Amino acid sequence: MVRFARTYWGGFLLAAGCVLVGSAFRLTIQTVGHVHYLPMLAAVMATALVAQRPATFTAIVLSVIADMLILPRQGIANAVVHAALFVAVALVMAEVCHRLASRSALLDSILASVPVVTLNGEGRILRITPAAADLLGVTPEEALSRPFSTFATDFDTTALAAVIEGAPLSLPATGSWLARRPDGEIVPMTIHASLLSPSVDPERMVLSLGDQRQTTAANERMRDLMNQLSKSWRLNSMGEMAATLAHELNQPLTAATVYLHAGQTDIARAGPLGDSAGRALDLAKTQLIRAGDIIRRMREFVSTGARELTDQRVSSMIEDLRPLFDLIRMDTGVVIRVDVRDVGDHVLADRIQFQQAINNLVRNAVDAVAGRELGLVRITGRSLGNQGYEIIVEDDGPGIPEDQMDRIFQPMTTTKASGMGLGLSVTRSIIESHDSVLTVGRSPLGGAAFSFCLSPVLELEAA
Amino acid sequence: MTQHSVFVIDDDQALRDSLLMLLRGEGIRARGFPSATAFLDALPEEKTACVITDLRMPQMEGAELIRHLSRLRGETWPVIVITGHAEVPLAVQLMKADVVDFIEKPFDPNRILEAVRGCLSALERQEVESEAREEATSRLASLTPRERQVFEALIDGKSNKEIAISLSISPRTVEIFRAKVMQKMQATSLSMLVRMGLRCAEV
Repeated sequence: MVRFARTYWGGFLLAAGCVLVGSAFRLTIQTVGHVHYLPMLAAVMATALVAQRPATFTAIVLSVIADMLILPRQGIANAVVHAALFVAVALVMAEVCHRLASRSALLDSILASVPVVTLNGEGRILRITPAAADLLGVTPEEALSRPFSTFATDFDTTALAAVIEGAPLSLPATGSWLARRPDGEIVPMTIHASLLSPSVDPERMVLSLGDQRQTTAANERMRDLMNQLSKSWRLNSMGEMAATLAHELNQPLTAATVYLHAGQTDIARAGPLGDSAGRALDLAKTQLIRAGDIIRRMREFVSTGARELTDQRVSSMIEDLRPLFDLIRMDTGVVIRVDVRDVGDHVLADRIQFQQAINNLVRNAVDAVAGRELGLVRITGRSLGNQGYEIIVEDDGPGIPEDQMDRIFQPMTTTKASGMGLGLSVTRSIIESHDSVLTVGRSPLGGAAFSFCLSPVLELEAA
Repeated sequence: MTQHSVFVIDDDQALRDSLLMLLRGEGIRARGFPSATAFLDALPEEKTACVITDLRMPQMEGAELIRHLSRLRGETWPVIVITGHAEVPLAVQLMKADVVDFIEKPFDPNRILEAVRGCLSALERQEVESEAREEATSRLASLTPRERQVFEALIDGKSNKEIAISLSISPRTVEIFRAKVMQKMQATSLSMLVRMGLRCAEV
């Protein structure tokens, strides 16, 4: 009925009805004394609370007409004064009622879009907004007067008591609030609880809920990526260490083998006398070569071997890293500007290895500018046509001193207090496994610029 | 016959020294350089030589040195690569850049001796060949224009009669020119003359 009265024509009907009721009331109490326009004022306010302004004006006009008909006035002046006074008061009251009604309508519609429930002292749901009902997977009617713990099992009596005492609501042991929907789905959500003032009894508290589904999914994706990156980092750095170890050990082993051989040649000139010493040298040489084989096998075992290069888009691979960049920005305040064009960015790459390389370069750049005001790191990607796709990671830090340029790629050399000095050599290995070269130069921003170029995937000719 | 040199370029002092000892022990002339830049700065003047180089070195990488050398000396300076990182793609790339051998460290010293000997004998063959070529060219230069014409016709496989017709001279005169050409070129047979002709054409 109220809904009907809110429509345009329904409002007029309501106005007429209210005035009729007011007039009838006035007629019945006329024997007691003159009440003038008072009952009509109630009729106008009732209309104004529900209906729109035109209907309210109609109610005022009808009231004046009814008054004229019911009570013959003493003289025209008296009638006009009374009527004018009534119209003035009625207009003011009507406006107040309209404003109240629109305020409450506004509040209702705001609340309807926010997941909010109110509970009584026992934790039963007294009110629930459509958004909250949607989150809990029920209709608002179904949820009313049921305990809130039906929908969120962890919201038990202790949690309830905490809210009533005004204490902050702490997360359950599982780490997040879970809404158990009747359809079986479990939805992660946030709950903010606050105590209501005693004047609105029996409602004791209001819970505002938050849907965590999307945030959780995004977090999971990022966690996956970080896991993959750290796993590949472990493998890469192990491979790099093994390669370094192999290289470093191979040098003295080779030298020793060659020295022994040279010695053998000399001893052979001594004739039969040196035979036995020559054999011993030969055996020693064999053992050294064996040691070299062991090292080589170990290196082959840890190195990831031939990498699988597939058709990948640079823009998409770097886009994946954005959450990581955001984290870095939050931690260090360094702005990471990504300017990677998606034109002609199909390249042959190993997705996670590529991301590892970019991540390493970005972290190095961030380290170089960290602590400076307005530190900036820029990632630029451009297609160079048939020559490939060029990627540059640069910063506005102090840059790399000339005399260190040669050493920066060598494993186990580092300028940082922490770190093993593997980052750049791992990165270079990755780039080289993509048949490219990692080069370092000076950036127009002032710091270092690392760049490389990946081979493009040419569009297949239409057969 | 000249004695060819072997240049050893490696940043590891012990490895360089041991290789020099090994090569010299075998009677091969050898010199060592601690880096690619040191080598290029004091580039020896030998026309032919064998180069042994490491790949991973500070300042200038072996791969870059090889590109330089291939531009400067080409086939006359064959390169043997010794490396601890036997990456297949890199090896393939280097083989294309005229690297004659690719040896992974640690290696059997015999392996590198074989490679070096292979290079040196190839250089010697080249030298013999080029000496013969120079000889032939200088002899060719001593021919008169008419003799030159007869020589060209001969190595084209033409008969005396055909030559006589094409040069508008009598077959008898051709006989005389032919004998002179054979004498000046110091060829004992027609087939030897043709071989010399081919050698000169290669230049």
